[in-house]
Amino acid sequence: MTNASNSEPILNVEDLRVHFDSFDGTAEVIDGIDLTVNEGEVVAVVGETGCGKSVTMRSILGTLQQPPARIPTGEITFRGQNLLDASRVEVDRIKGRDIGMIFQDPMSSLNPVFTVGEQLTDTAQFGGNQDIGVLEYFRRKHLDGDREAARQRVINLLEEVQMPDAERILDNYPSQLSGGMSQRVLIAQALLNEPDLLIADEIGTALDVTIHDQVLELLNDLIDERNLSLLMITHNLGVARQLSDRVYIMYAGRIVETAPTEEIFRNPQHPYTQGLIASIPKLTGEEMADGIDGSIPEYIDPPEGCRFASRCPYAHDRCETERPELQYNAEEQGVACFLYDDVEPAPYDPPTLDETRDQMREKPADPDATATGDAAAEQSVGDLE
Amino acid sequence: MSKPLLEVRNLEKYFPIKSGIFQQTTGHVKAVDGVSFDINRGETLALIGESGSGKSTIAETIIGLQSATGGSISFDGEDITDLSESELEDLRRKVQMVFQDPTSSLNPRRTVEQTLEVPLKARGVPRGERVSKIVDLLERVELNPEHRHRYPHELSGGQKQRINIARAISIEPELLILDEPTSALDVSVQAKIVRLLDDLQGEFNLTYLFITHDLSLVRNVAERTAVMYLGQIQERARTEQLFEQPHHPYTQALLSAIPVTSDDEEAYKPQRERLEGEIPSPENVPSGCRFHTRCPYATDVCETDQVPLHAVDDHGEARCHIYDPEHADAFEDLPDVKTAAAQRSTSHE
Amino acid sequence: MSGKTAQSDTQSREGDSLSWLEKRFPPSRRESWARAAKRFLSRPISAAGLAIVGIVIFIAVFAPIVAPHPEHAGAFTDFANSMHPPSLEHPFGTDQSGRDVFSRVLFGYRLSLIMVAVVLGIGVPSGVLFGLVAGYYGGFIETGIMRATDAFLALPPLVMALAITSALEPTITNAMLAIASLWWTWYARLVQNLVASERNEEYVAAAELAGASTPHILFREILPNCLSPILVKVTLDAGFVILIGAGLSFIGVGVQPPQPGLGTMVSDGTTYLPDGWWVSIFPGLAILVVVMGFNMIGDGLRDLFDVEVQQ
Repeated sequence: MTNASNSEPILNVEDLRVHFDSFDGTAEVIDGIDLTVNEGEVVAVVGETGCGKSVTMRSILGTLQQPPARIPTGEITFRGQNLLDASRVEVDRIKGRDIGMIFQDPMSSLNPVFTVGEQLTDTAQFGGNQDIGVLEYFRRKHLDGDREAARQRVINLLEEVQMPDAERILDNYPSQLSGGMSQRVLIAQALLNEPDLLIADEIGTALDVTIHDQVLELLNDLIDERNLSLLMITHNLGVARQLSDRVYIMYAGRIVETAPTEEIFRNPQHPYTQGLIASIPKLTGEEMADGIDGSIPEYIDPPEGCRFASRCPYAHDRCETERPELQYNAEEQGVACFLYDDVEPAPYDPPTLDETRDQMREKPADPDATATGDAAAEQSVGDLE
Repeated sequence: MSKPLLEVRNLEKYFPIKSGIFQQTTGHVKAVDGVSFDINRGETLALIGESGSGKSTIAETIIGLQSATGGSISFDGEDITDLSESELEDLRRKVQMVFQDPTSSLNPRRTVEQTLEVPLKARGVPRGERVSKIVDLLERVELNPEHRHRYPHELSGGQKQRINIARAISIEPELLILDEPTSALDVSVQAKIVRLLDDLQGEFNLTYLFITHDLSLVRNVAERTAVMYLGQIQERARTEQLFEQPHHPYTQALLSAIPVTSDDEEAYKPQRERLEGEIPSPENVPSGCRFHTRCPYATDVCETDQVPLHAVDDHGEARCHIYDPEHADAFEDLPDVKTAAAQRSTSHE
Repeated sequence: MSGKTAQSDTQSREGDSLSWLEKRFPPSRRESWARAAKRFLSRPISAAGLAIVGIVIFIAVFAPIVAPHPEHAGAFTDFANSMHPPSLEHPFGTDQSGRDVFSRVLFGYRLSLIMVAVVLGIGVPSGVLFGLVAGYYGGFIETGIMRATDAFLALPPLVMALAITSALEPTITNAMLAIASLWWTWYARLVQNLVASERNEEYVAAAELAGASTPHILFREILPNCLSPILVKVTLDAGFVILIGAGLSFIGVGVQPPQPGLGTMVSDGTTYLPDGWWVSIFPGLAILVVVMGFNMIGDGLRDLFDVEVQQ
């Protein structure tokens, strides 16, 4: 983790909305989110399945299929330049040179029919320049002296990401790599053109614990050494805690809470955050909460007011009609919940984590209550991630 | 002391590696290599391991999806190692399994009701009674019975896993094998499924074999835990003890690597042991102690001599030379693994 | 994603109050069919194909009623009216025997569709069955069946049909049986391939664990997941069968005159080209239209299933 500097943020997302048009209607998936990544900072966006974090990431990277997706409002600025307005060429250039992407699944970034060495050297040699044409590609590849230099750069970088036997790996195909090695290759690939901002999707989620541990440690070191900024998307709070300086908690297409990492775990404010943290099994063996009742709301014809209201133990009338905006109550710390509203006090006091944990431990007494309650709440979840 | 419900003795499952034009068997993948454990009626045994540990293979072997290449398994006193088709059918009335991925274990073209009908029909439940049984089942797993007309793609991950659980308990088995039942689920959903499993265990007097890679979860679900690495059990103890005083270096490393979310959990973890290197492939099992290539305490004897399970104090066992009095002198110079763990556990009391 | 709430089911939670039909086709399934139909029809080509085939089927079924001169479909002579070009009374003209070509074409469709029904009716179920068994059991059984399939596949259908019908009588029945005896191989291979991979799906293992019998697994678990490619192939094959049947009739080993086989009519009419063009051309066009219609449906189905798979 590094100290965030106070200059202009490297990435700024403002009032982003993303809608998906489908046969059954328009799904308002992302509903006005703001987020910022400062230079040298690690920011985590944490949320569960269906919360829209992947859609957010794809919007930033410009990989959303539009249609069926639509971005009715929003600005995504990288170093002051609006990515949503920029031309395809501009965006590609930035993605190649300034932004590096690390995906979870090696098969989506690496072509299985080429060796690792081929692909990484290509990336190193051609940078982010995707549209150079076939002839130019062959020319550079076979005639340009730069290939050797590029290859060496790749080897150096692989060694830096602690890849055992870096030179031999170059001759392997992606399918021959173990989980940990694939992840390192992906990190190396992202770093090849020395980006300033890394965007990572569920790093290490599919890895074994001991390997995962190594990879996170490695990332930490790389971030410190190169003063990188990192925007990471994850559903794993533990990973977020290990890597990030600041956390955004996302629920049903909205940011419900944000705080510096230490704060959010010591003193989570939003009932959803509390419910989430309370549901994590504790190493020390204390009983965990029973999870959060209900499920995420429909994005097509979404509920008015707070999207968490149907599952919140503290929901009251205002929550169903009015949307709680993210209110900052300290530097970099904000929560979108009426329980924390200074202007209009709520029927309940802001709950502590323990109080919410206790709330969520109580089982519904009557199985019939579950059946009818869930009939409204347990609707099908779309694969919008 | 009643007889254990499940007894596994020196279970072995080797997969042949074939290569060359004539498909000669050039070696073996020793997925499971001499595993023994018991599960008592009504308790939950957790089996923890990373990739290549063999934990899923054990599950498949017990329930007959794979056949053991060595060793024996007995259920309720009867040997079930090598069963015929019809004997397997009988076994599967008493032993059932829930798979890891809730989606792929449900046929996408069949409704919930059609899926749940299968075990009922196989057990001879008359047609007229099936629907009410299904309604019952769905209510027991806390699902709206109306959902029985839905297709899997219309259900969330948690709901699908409840269906899988419903299917497994529909014929009221005695032993339920849960192979990473919550690994594919979000943490808030996981908590609910764990609670459901707990309730069902009490209600039906079920015995669980809980397979997972998530150590924190194990603390909450299992009375006893076995840690596996490359096809062998490395440590076995009562769960609480395993966490309070992990004996095997691998267990310590696992525990110290878990990303936790609170300071007191952080303080609870054993001292940081970051393991180097990759997990070896089961095709190429290291000589001597399988863990020696990554163990921070490995010495010469670890590379040469294989290790049996050594009893450590009253209730635990660890497969490590450190606990062999004969090799005590080999570990003289190293920081004492045992007291390090002991120190940590006394410090947070 | 649609918003489905449980309130759409009006039945009580207890007991067998849903009729058998409603259980087999629950609301969500009907909804997804409705959506699929909408999507299918939204493409002009698929809709056109469906319309064409629909009309052809209608014609085939109701030929005796629809045709202006149903009696011309068989042995009928009216040499006074022979070789008249298309007119209001005879939209496709009359042939050398004075028969109304239009009516004969309508009845020709009937014969074509019967051909399709027989060939596919025999070939598809048997091929699918072989494929299921081969794919599921693997080992010797699979090898045995697939090698037999390979042997049959080596024989071109048209040539086989010729050979068989020369050995036996050159009737349309023999020709159809000859083709059917080869047609199963394509389905065996297709289905074996599909089943071999479906077989490893976790839900098959789960069904086995739950105690499902082998026929249940084959027909209720695995087969439903293979239906899409089979269906696409059936629609495309329909066109193909008609073409082959017409081809055989054209050479003379299919539908024998005076029966109004489309290929036979084309063949008979060639002698009168180019002056009496309508005798050959209209039956030829009729073949073209129906084959295209089936192809268009097949294409549309394939696109439909691709989209569904992606979702």
